[in-house]
Amino acid sequence: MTKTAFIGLGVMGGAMAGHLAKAEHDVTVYNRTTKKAEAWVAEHGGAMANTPAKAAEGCDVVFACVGNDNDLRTVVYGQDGILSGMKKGALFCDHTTASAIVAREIDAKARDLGIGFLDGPVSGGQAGAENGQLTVMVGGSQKDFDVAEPVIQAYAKAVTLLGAAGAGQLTKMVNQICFVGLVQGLSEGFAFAQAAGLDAKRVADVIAKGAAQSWQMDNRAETMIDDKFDFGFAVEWVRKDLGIALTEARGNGALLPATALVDQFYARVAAMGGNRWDTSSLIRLLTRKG
Amino acid sequence: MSSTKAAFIGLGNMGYPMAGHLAKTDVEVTVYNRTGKKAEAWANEYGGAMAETPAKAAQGADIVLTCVGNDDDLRAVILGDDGALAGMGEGGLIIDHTTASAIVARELAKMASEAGIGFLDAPVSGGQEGARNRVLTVMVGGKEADFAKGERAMQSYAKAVILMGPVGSGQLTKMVNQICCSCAIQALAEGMNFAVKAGLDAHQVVDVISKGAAQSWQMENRGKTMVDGKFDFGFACDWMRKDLDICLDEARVNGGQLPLTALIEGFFARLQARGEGRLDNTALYRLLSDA
Repeated sequence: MTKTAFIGLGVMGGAMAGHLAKAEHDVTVYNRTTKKAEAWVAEHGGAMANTPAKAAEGCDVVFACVGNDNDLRTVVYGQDGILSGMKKGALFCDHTTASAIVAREIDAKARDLGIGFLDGPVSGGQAGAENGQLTVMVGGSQKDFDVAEPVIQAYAKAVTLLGAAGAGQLTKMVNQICFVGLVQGLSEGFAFAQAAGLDAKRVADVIAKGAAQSWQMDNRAETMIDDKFDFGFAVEWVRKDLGIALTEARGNGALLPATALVDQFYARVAAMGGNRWDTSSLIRLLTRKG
Repeated sequence: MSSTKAAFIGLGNMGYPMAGHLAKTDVEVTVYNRTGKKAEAWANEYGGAMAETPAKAAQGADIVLTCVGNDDDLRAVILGDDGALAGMGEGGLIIDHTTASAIVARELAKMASEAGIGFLDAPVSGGQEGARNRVLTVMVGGKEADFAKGERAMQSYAKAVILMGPVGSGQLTKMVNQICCSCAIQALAEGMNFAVKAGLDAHQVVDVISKGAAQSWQMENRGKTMVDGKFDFGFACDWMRKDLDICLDEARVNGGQLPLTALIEGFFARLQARGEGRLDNTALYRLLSDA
């Protein structure tokens, strides 16, 4: 049993913290909106705290899963922040999809305090979190990884160390770059199929057997054709992730012509009122008149 | 009932093994190829007959199969005095496996129908390996009755033969396939190049992210070869550009919008201008890694 804290009980964090409790770790939670923390404790047992610092007190491993770089800095730094509550020799593992910059920054500050740090963004979405089947992409030292890995297993099907601090975030960026290009390809392909008068679902069945196959085709083609987008991974979140990837690419010199274009398409979907729609809603730009 | 007679026109990387598989069934196959040497090699290997023109190959054939380069090549082997149509009798069937436009499919179907001959457009996917191992997917457009007549022959080299709709539907389905493929490759290229520039172990990244929502056939089969700079195999940029041009032309007519596909078509044009048109289409990566 490890003494842990979990900061941020959104759709991802709440489920992940629940798996920790189920695995009989000692879990203290903190959430900006207290109601969610109360509900979590009512469901899973464990304790709740008024500040991230208090939740982190005396813990061996502290986890966070919040919205973005700024949310992360808010729960990590300052008098009420995670770092001020943690003991020396403990480990902080962040599951937020954030920039590699903030990961390196927190890593440096944590290290000054004798605290370990891992950036560990996840993929697998809400369903993956609920079923304990997330993929966790980790950056940090081998030593810290070895401490956290058995604990993270409570909600993951794969936990992989990909390099130094920031490497988890960078890997997640590669993931987002690849997936948005696929979604745009699907959108163009299936809007074309409809314009050409084909039975688009039939087309999906046929071409998903070959080189055009993708997870997105297998899992989103049908809902795209049916114009269903009130589920899944929201446009506002992918825009945040693409913003991070495009900024990073400006620094490392990687060209992202298709990714940048698709980011702009998402901006248009958002302007249509689609901030909460699933990312596959890109097809609406091609199928809606006007 | 006497055995079926077929002609196979076009013995390229795809047509050669396809005609071979067909000849191994009870179908009697006569081949034609623009370059006579390939036809000789084929006849030696499979023991069928060869002819000097498409018309002669098609004489007395119940089914004429074609697999050539593009719309113009197709018209050249079907139309005119030496073309397959001139040699065929009423009641025959043309099955075209070329990846061509839906326009040429409709045009040839109309001319064939005037001569009492059926026509199916039947582009394939699965590449050279699929042709060799008899696991092609055949996307067919045409009439039910013609499909019923031609299905068995196609099954000799396919794992799936599917009627998608009227004439042209096979080509249109293949276009959707190429649109999705080329976007998947570009996305993968950007991701892999980003990984390298970010100092990550790109092979390890592929292993990790190919388990989730970013997964694609291209990622599983081409992610690592891309990063390793291997492009001397597979499906050439020249061919993919030809296929995308067909898609863009068709979209101009049916109103389909293809902003990313159009961008990628331009990237293939750039690779051709660099003299790299023969490389596998995953060479899109080079435009990023060389920059």
